[in-house]
Amino acid sequence: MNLFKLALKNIQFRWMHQLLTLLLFTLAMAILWVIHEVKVQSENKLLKNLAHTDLVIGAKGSPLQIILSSIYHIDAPTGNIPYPEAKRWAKHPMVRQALPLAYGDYYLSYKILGTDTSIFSWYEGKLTDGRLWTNEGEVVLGASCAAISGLKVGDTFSGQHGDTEAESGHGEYRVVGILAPSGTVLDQLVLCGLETVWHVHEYESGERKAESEGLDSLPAKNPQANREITALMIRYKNPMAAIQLPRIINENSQLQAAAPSIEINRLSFMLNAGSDSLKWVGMVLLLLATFSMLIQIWMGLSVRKNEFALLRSFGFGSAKLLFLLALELGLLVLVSFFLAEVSARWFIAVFTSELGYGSAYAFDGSSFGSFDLQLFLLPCMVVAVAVLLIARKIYQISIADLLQHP
Amino acid sequence: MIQTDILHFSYSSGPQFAFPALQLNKGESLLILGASGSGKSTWLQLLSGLRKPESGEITLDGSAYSGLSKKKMDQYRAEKIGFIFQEHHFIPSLSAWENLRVAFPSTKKFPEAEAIELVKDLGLESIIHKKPTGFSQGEKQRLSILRAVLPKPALILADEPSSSLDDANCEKLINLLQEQCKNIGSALIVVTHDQRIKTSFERRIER
Repeated sequence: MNLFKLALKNIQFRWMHQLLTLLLFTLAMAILWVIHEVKVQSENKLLKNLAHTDLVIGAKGSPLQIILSSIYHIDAPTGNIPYPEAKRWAKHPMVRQALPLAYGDYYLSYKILGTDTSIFSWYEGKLTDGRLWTNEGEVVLGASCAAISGLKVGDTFSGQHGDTEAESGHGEYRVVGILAPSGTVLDQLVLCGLETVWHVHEYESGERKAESEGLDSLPAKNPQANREITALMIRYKNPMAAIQLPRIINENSQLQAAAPSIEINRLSFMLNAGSDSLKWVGMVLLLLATFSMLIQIWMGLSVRKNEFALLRSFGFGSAKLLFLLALELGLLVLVSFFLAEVSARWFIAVFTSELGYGSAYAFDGSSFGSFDLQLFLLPCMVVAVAVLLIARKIYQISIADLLQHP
Repeated sequence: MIQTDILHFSYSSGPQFAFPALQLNKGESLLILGASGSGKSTWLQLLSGLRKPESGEITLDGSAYSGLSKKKMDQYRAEKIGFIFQEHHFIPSLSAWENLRVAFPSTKKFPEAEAIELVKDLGLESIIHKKPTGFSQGEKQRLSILRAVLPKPALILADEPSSSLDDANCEKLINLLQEQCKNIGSALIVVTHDQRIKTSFERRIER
């Protein structure tokens, strides 16, 4: 009978004793994995969606809110800004590239975003079907939006004023293009020209005004001059701009300039504080699992002393006995590792679907990287230490233990 | 065949022992009888190579113990010596059959057909695939004997094999043990303080 089979038989026989250790190791490794993956993937996604945006100009309010709403599309904007003034800043000598954003209606829960076609080069988005918009009312769908809605090139749909289906029937849109998945916010958006958003809003505001005055319809007055956008994203021409431009904008206009790098650092700091606390919970569980394993070995050794002495009489050397014990512990850790890997990935999948995140913010549980290896090596080291601690005891076990004392 | 000189051994804590020379051929049996503290277990440990005598040589099947390293002695013991302990120890996670297999020296091929035959002879068919935790005392004894004789060792050492048995079972055990050792041609040494088995052995040493 080989050692591996004997170790398996021993684990099966004593599974109840090893259950606590197994569960503690599993839980500890699963927690550490989830924390690590959520942290790393969040940071990667934050950086990827940043797309080298140096500055965002929005209405006065919280800079973090401006960043979250304009770059990540996960918060309400602080307000609108006049388009003529935004254009003036877009032409500033310190600005290399500018991208206007105008929040429109929603389709299902996907935001309809008015912008210009340079957004595709900004996020390195690529069409998988159709073309870019050229006329008012034409839209390009992000990959996730197209997949969920089932809309195809040539289909039409009506927008909703809020992000609930209850307020549908605002504006008529026609799909002219569909984007390939990019893993950025583009996947979650319905993109169109600024004119499309303005037209729908001017029509809506005219309709509301006509309704209040008892008329059938009323066009908005001087629409060109009143046009607004939600934010203007900027890439600097040179590093000096990072020091000067935000200050110039904040001091010389009614607008708010927010630097994403500063706000993201602040956000990461807050998130890290939470994840560090959870990491400690994982480490404490790992420590408990280690103690549980050591106690189990120590107590098991006195119970199994005769068993080991018997194996010695069958020709098992001390090193072979030690290896048998290491194999039993190693198999236990291996099972814990697999359970942790599966349960952590399952948790990530459930967590993502429960939060209703789309592909831009979904966490991916399919990767297997160096951290997984580290996670496996950590309890392996615990096993190695445990085996070293009991090595002396194992080497002292003799067949004489089974014989009667003189 | 086992052959020893006069063996001397002393513990650092005090007791000193001298054991007479002996020679035992294939299939022969010997009883070493003595009260507690008479040194019979020390003798057993010397005969099994677990302790080294201060003087005197032990030779089993042509090999002198003194010429073997500790590791070699472990291997030699596993191949040439079968043990029967007072408490019938088994590996609890394995079935009776697996216990026989794990005890069999890795250098030899497990005699499957012969083992099945012996299992039948000893009336162990009904329990052979069960784990030993629920076995009766009699089943444990027979399994212990089977485990010791199956590899056909040159020497079988039995340490107080009868002390926990009633008279009827005690006689049965000794008869079975002697019969099996004769069949396979192993020398048998029984070490005990149990006076009841004295008459079952033609050769005996009393201490």
